Amino acid sequence: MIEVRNLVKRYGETLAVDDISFTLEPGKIYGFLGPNGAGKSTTMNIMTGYLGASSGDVIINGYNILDDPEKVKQYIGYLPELPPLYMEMTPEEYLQFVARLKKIPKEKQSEEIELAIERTHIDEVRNKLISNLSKGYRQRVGLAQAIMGMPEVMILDEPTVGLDPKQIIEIRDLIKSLAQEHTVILSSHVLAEVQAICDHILIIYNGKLIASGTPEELEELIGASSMEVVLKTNSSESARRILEGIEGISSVTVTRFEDGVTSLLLKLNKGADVQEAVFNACVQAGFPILTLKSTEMSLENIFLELTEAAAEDNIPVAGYNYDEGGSDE
Amino acid sequence: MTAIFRRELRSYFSSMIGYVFVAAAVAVIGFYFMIRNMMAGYPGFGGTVSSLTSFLMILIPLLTMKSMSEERKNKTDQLLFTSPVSITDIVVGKYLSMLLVYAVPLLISCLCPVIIAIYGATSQLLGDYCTIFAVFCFGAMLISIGLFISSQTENQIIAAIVTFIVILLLDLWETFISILPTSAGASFAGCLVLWLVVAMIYFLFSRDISLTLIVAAVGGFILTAIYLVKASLYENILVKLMSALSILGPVDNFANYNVFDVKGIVMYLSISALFVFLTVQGVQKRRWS
Repeated sequence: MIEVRNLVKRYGETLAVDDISFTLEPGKIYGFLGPNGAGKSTTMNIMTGYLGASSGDVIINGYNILDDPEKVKQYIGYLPELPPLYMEMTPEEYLQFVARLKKIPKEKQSEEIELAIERTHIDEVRNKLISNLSKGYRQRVGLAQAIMGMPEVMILDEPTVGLDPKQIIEIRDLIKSLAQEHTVILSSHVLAEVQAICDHILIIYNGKLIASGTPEELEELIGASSMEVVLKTNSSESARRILEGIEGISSVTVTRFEDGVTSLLLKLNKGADVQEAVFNACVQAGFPILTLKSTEMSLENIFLELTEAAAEDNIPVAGYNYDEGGSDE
Repeated sequence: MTAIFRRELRSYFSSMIGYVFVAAAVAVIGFYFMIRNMMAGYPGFGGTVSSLTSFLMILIPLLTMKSMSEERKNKTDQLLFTSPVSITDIVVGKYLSMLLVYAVPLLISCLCPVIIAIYGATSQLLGDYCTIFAVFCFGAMLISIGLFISSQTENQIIAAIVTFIVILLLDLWETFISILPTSAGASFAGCLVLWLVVAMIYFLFSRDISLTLIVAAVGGFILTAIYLVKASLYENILVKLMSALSILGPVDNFANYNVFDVKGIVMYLSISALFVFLTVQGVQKRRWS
């Protein structure tokens, strides 16, 4: 059980973390989501005892990181943004060093090292120098370091950065398997990733915790879902009018119209199920349907909406650098 | 602590640094051993091994420059400081590993007095080994200073250069003293300047300008009052003050006068402890700022 209370971190004038509080339960995967520079890494650095907080408490299993730092650190495995690797060592030597550093009993060390190597699939490079490894392997060696000794809490800062798609899937599976007996906290600015593996999401923006909940809860928070319809017709206006008449649809907008194909976006009232009605209406009007799909309110939209809302509340957008899905305009 | 100690030691000898350091130190000692003891026939080895001290300004920065700065630059300090080991353990582990690397050439040099003893009857084994010990303590002090400097930057080169300059200044200390004025008036002015430096150092750490001004003013006032009441107190005071901090003196006493300078050894060891402590504090402070 992890409790973070009123965490504040000040760097001179700037507030990197602004009064964040949350409680995390064991056996779940938590995702810190936020744009770059939002304070995710700083929060993680404080939780692991690397940085001191300006004020506030971090309590893990009843121990405060301020009063019993060494006790708390025994429960934590941490993979920082940049894997803390010694280039002149091989992964095996490195993990031996980590095992000793984490005070794993001598007789269990080699067993734990083998386990970490096996779970992160770095067996084939175990005797190469880390300086010769690719970024993906380095990331996995870093991950092996974090899970060494299977600590109760694993804090992973952007664990899948620099990995290829296959490796990303492997690491996600690994994280999911870890969560069965451990608490995993990971950060990411990739929404799909957080959506795919996290049980609970904490959205951090400008040092503030602006939303927290399961992916479903967050979708609920924003409300209505929508539907995309593509029709083979030239009369986009009449199609729009017909669809607008259906009960449960709050608004219809034509998103694209070219070469006799009309794309429409339907905003639905909460809980409305209109697929059949739309189908019947289109058939009646003689518009062949090319596509009919409900577009669930993605986390991306939620995220953008929440951060925009936060920005409008006159929260300064310093350091805002959202580099995913940026528009080309 | 042992995990850090072993890793550091490994890293010195998996890179060239450890070998270069040991080879250079052994070469220096060996060269002087050949010239002084073998060719010129001096029976004492103390003077030979103490000649190493003038090369330490190059050798010590080589050893200490990366000790803390590299961890900071490569962010490997994130691993160390989030592991269940205290910062003191980390710093002391690193310090001990450097001491061991430094001890290697001195241990090798322990053979030399034996070689001299084989050849001549007038050997001074006890004095020689005491001098080797003094040279070790002297280097231990310089290593602690280098460790501290390395912890203050993430650039190895800067750490090396600053350490070099500091050791150079310490070596030139005696020369400085010889050009200091001895008259009361000049010494008074010198004391004022010294006090101003103390106040400035205080400001660098506290960042409190008003308190610094008060400290500077009170000190200046007391110094002036003493000067007005009894100017003769100031005669030669700068020389006396500075000589107390002469760091090469004790090695000299061991090597050339066959004196076991307990005071000097205590000074070396306490300065070492002070800088190891300051390194720990410096690392702690950075976590909170």
